[in-house]
Amino acid sequence: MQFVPLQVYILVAALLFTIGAAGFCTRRNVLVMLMCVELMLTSASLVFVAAARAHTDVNGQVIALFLIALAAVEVAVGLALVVAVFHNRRSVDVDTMSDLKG
Amino acid sequence: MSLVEWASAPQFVIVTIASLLAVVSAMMMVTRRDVVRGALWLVMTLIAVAVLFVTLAADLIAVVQVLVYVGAVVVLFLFVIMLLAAGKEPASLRNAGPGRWASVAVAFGLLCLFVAAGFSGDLPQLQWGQAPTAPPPARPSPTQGDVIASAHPFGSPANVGQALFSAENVLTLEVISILLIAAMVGVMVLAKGLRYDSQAGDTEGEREA
Repeated sequence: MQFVPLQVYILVAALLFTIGAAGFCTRRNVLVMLMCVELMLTSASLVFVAAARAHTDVNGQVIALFLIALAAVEVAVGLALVVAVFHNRRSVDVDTMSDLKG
Repeated sequence: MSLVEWASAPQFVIVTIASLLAVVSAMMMVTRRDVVRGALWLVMTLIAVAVLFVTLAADLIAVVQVLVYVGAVVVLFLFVIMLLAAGKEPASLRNAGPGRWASVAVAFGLLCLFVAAGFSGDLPQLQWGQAPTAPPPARPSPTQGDVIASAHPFGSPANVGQALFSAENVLTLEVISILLIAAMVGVMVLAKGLRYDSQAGDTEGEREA
């Protein structure tokens, strides 16, 4: 009987989330920032699936399905907003989108 | 089991390769200046995570991951990159802000927090090979009885489908479907507003109507 420790999956998910968060904070291109959000959502679903496997509770996989649907919704609305902003600003730099700055 | 024997097991090799591929591709995705190449590295990461899903007996999730993420989300990204002609970043985007290293440090602290949380406590070990057939009744609830009693193996599409449409998950499913419709309407409104903007100067009357 062979075993794969659950910690491997948790470590990978933590690394993916960290890379996504660091990229979201450092990059200024709004498209890359949206891709980093996708990365963070994927790492969250990886943790859910690993926990579902460890506890043999299939509800974790159901939540992973919901997360994938949520990510699709988020990227559809986000990219529509990016296109709308780009038509006004001609830029994908988030630093130019500072009209609400006090 | 000794460490050498454990490290030479085939499933460990698969999980290690997929994990390294996911992490390295994610770093490449974040660091690339070319957005199109970043999107292609994102594809690599998502496929590696799908391989990890397969090793976790989540075949359906892996297939849905590849179909939805790679087939829809990344293609949408590539469409928008091509549409906006934003493939190459201008040089003005290259000089990072002053908070760059501070945010990297905060992300590293986040990583330490996750690892400390994930590695504390006694986590169960995962069993490779045949999936368990009888999930233990974790919490006795009357609505979950049909899921527990199902004869389908863990993680099979029939098993996930039964859990998806069970009484405790079906409300969430309906909310997600409403969210999808709301997002579709929102995107249509955004696109419609764009067309009025590009045609005429006074857009307020059109938007009100």
